[in-house]
Amino acid sequence: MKGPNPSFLNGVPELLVLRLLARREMYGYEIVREIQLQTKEAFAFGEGCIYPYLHYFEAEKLVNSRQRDVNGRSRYYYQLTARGQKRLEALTAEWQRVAQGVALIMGGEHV
Amino acid sequence: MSKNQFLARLHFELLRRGCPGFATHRILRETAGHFADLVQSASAQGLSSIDAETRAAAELGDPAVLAAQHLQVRQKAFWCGRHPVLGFLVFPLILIPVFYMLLCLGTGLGIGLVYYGNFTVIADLRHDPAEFQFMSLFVQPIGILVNLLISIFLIRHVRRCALPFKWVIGVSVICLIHAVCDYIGIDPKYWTMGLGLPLHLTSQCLNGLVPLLVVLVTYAWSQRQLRLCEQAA
Repeated sequence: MKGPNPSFLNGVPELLVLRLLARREMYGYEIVREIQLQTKEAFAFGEGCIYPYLHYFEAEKLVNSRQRDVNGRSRYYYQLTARGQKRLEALTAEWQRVAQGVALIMGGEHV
Repeated sequence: MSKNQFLARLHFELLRRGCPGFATHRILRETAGHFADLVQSASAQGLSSIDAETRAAAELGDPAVLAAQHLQVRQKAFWCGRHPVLGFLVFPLILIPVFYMLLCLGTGLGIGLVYYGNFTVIADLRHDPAEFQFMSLFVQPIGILVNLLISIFLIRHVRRCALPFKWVIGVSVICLIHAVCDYIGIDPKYWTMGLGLPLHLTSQCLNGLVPLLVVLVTYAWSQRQLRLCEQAA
């Protein structure tokens, strides 16, 4: 039997950010734009909130950051680490398990 | 709210909550970059610079809320930040005497090295109070220096974890207890050296002033930074 996941809903931003960083390294503004674009603005949040998340991931060694000058502007680019990749795989599996469960309850109503 | 006003407010809120300087600078740099990107995007849509900045500020969110989130994350990022009672009160209370004991051993070894090969000189030292006083001049400041270094290390770590100032006071109380109770000295009569309750209370009370001094300097520095930030805003 699989364990409960009380923090699942809290883990959604983490899942999204790690998923995006798995594709390529990005900076904060780029990540926010990408989330808004790909989710068709399904999420509404203060854009500044992305940085506490990114700093936390960095402290947890899920991502690395490096400073780069682009067009005269200094930016911090974030990239996924091996540990971040493992965390992403665990979160993805958890997400798929819950999404399947929800789909079973919802049936064909919202499909 | 203009870009400068937004960043000044964020700076103030971060400092007010005790965010360390290097972290504050990075947060401000990243937020400033994000703000500039938002303004650029809004200007490309035909908004005036004032409207673009107002919209960017609204999109980034309330600086006070942002600062609180940053601080929460910083506290969570460190073990001591997550468990401040253990990390800053219980463990230092137990570990500082252990450290002092190691220091005693180190000092003893140091003296041994200085007098290496001159064992007759060491044996004769007990009859030479002047030489013993000379050695005491080196040994006693070691206790004060270590007390100072421990206080700075712990208080700096509290600031690094972005904990409220009450934790700085808590840590300084622990350092004060040790500064007053842990005594490193040499006894010319019995040729012993060790850790224990003070023989000279006045000197230990002076030693106890060291952590208080570190707290005062830390407090004065943070208040100065806050005032400068307020003036800039």
